[in-house]
Amino acid sequence: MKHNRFRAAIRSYASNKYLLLMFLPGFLLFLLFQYVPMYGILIAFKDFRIIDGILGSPWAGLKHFEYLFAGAGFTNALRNTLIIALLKYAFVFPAPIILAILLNEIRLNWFRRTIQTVTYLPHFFSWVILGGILFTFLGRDGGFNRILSYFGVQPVSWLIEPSYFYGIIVATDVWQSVGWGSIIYFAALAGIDPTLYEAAVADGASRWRRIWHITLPALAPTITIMLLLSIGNFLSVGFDQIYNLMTATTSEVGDILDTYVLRRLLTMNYELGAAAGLFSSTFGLLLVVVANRLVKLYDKDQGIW
Amino acid sequence: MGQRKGKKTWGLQAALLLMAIMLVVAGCSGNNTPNNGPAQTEQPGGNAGQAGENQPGDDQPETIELTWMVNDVMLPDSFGETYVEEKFNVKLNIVSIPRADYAQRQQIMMTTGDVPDVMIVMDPNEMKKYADQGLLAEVPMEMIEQYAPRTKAELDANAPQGWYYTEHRGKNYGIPTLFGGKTTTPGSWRVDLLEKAGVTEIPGTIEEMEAAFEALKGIGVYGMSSNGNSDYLTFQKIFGAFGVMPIQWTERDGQMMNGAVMPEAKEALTLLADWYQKGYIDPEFVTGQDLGPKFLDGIFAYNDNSSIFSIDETDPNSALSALKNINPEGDIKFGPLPTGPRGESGGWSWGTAANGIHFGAHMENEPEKIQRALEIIDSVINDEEVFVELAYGQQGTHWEYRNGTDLTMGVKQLPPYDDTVKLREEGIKGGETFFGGRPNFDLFYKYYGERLKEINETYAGNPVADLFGKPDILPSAGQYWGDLKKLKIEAYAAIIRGDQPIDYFDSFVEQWNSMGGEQLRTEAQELYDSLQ
Amino acid sequence: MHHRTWGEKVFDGVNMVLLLALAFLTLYPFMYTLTMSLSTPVDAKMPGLHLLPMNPTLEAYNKVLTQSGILQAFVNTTIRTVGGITLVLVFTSLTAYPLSRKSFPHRGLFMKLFVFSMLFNGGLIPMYLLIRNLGLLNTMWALLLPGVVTAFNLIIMRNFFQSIPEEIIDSAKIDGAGELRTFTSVVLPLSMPVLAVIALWSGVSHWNAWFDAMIYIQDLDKQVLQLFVRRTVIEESDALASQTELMHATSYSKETLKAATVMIATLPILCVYPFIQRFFVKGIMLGSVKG
Repeated sequence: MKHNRFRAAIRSYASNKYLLLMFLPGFLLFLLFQYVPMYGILIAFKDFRIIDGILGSPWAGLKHFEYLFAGAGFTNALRNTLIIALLKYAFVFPAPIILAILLNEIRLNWFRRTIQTVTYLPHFFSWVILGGILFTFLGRDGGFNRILSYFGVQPVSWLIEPSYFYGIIVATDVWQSVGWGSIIYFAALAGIDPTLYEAAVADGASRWRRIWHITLPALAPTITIMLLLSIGNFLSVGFDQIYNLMTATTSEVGDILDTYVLRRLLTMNYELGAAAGLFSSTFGLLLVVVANRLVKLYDKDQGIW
Repeated sequence: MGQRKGKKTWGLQAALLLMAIMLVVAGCSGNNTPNNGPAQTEQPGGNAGQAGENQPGDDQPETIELTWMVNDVMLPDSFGETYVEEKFNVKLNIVSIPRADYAQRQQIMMTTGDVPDVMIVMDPNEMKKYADQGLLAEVPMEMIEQYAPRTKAELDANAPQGWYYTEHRGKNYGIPTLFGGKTTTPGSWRVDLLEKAGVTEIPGTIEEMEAAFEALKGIGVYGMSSNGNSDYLTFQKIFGAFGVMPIQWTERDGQMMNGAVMPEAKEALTLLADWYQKGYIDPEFVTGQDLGPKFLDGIFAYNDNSSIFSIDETDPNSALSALKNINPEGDIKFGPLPTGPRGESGGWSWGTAANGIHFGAHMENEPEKIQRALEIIDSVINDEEVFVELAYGQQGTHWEYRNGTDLTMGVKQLPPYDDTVKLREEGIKGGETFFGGRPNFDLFYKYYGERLKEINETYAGNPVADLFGKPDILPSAGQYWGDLKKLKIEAYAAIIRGDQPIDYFDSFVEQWNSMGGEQLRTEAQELYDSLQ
Repeated sequence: MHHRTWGEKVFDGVNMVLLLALAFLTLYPFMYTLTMSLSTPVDAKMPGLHLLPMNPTLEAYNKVLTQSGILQAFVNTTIRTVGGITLVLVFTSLTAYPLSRKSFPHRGLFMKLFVFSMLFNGGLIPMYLLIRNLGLLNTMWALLLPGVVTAFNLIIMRNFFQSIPEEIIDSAKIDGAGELRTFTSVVLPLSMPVLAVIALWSGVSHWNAWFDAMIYIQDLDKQVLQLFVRRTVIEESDALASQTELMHATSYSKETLKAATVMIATLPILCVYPFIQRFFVKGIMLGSVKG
């Protein structure tokens, strides 16, 4: 029985030998650089002695995990992380899709291209720089308040109010990533047959119906795959962004798992870093598996595997 | 093949594949144990390999080869390297790593077995980790006494806390570097705004400050701001006026205490909360951002952390020049450190020791190399000629007297070496050396120049330093310090802004102690007692 | 031609206004940094929006570009980016294509392996040891090879290949084309949009990468451009360093230098996008099938 299965596998590889030849070089490179160093995960369960190497170091059990979860403020950091993650999925994830759809409705070629190019600019500036700009712009005497004053709004120091913090995190993340994120959707839109639109117009379908019945279905597989690919990093809610926007008054609501771990990460504390990474990854894996299952329930041809 | 069956076989095959991968891993792991040999053999692509061979017989027999890791970009065969090689009859293999990358690169190299002979370790906590892992050579005090006697005497006299940086579990692992002289930053005032508000005299006490702030409020200017998002900078001069410096360890009647939780800190916070409530403090102090532009823009009048170069009108890029550019009427002057109710004053200082120079563990078998390195270090710190060559370069080529005749105004680097990057590529660090850091205090002040020394003594004459230099070098600091800093920043901001009443300070102290503050205090006491 | 209703005109108008507002906001950091980089150090210290330089000067650029090693770093980064894009496109598409074919055995297992690698990794030390044991330390290969096939790119590409109708591929085979030929002459031309996206992604990530270079590259003449950016931006925030800087009266404004360094490191990669855009034109794929 087992023997048969083995032979069947050999046979199916043999019948796909050209595909296999195409596949193997890249796959071996992948194994070499992704899986050979994978034993480093063990360091999370070890007391790392440099002289003994990772594998030779003594086992430490779950010590590093206990230390990680027992620190002051862990639950607060976990809660903040989950809130920010959910907010980002609600508002940041759909933003590039909406941008792509809106741009798709623009007829003027030069206008569409210019907007595309301009909106993707902030992606190229690190949060250290964007943070500096935002502190000035959102400060009490900054440009944003000057604009609001035309509408009779009293000036606010936006970045020091804890109640505005999540809103600002979401809005600035959209601002920084929307253009860059929409590129993959532009690529997907390029696959739509223009005759579909022409036919719809001829049938007298309204703009909304065209978006709903042609554009969105064409984007759906890409949206699904982007969701599946990103959900594994659910607990990584943007360390650079939050770290560079946090102040003395917002650090309570802005404390996320990454900043929490950073505070504990001493010099060369590889064990704790690995333990924290393993925690987020395991959580992420769980989400990916569940999400993939859900997607396949809906349409068994979608999903990653 | 049925789909369900297929799925089951996947599990099996996945397990097989993972096993295969584990085998590969196990095969590789043989190579993973780092060899702790001298770095020359491991040095990635460096010039070290060739250097080992070119030891011709015609060289003097005592030529010693040293792999020396320095924390900035120095080009191969630079002026500085050549100078040291000729002067001290050594062959240097410089491992030069940009400052921004230094700590990380050093950690990776140390972890994977590329341990240099001599290296600066920029953070004493890193040193303690390396020592713990057996990567550093012990350097007995007698050896330092014998080969770097002048430096040892200078450290004992002016920077004894440096020995905390090189000590670990009762052993000494290197030689501390100096961070002379005793400095804090001056505070500066927008005197044009003071005048406009009718204040003619630069305030010197807390009371005078308060009066000036009230007057400034009348013209719509905040009295002061500060970096409220920092564990140590927040209103440092005001705390100094109450004789306390938060987050530093200090000693009272033989007892160790942390400034952050001392009763004097509560006094200062009471005053600051009052000032905030009266509208003397820029509410955006909690961001710690844009302090420079806001000061120039006249949002607030007292800047509690200025550069000693900021009112140099001869420098077209100084803060004063920038102010004059937008506002010819504007003017900035230094003010004395404000004095508090008990006549105290002070500003934050990092102390007089910088960090340490250490030696790879393999050097324990080659004491003559450690000795030679110590001799070089002792010389660059104390011999004027050697120090000047390596800190400023050659007179006429790299530097000249600022006033053209003597050292009263200090020295200036000549173009193109006035660009720090270009200077350092030459192996000249500027004001200090790559091989020993800053010089002894006499040399430091000599080249610092009278003018700066005078500014320092008049306006920043009372630096307050941690008893250990850096407050986070205690054994369990890594575990607690991050949380304590966060707690301190948040609590202070909340109290000053009035989000919490003054009495919240007491509950803050309780939290501080329970979150590791008490544990660290005990350790500080032990460390202090052990080295008395 | 379709006659636009009043409602559609309103939609178009609102849409354009919205997009213009967004463009205005997203242009700001670029304009700000550009202005800073062209300002005199004194102007840069001034408060305000910094939308236009008051006394434009190229001094900061001059200062940045005369740093020794920066031009070499520019060349290195360009080689890295071009090489990186090429390797990623070739290897990822070759690896992804078989995984998109239903006949290929154990597809699910392979995909699981890829997904797992996206979430878990062994960390810095084993990676460094691997690179060292392979003899790649201090070579460009240490920067190029590890990212040649990554799960993210592979899955995106496979999904795109999967969306190509089975019949097109089958008909090519009936015409007698082998797997490789089908792939290069049918599948790849149909996949230009996704290839363009992956090229852009990997190009930008190679252009912006610095951590691997910081860890694996020792020689100054092999360094990459972003390390210069990092150094200029980071040194500012180092407390002890800035105290040391106080020793130097040459307080050349760091703001302008920082901005100029960022502009120099960013402008070239920004110019790439417009070339990528032409692969996003509607109907480009269909054209290549039916045409």
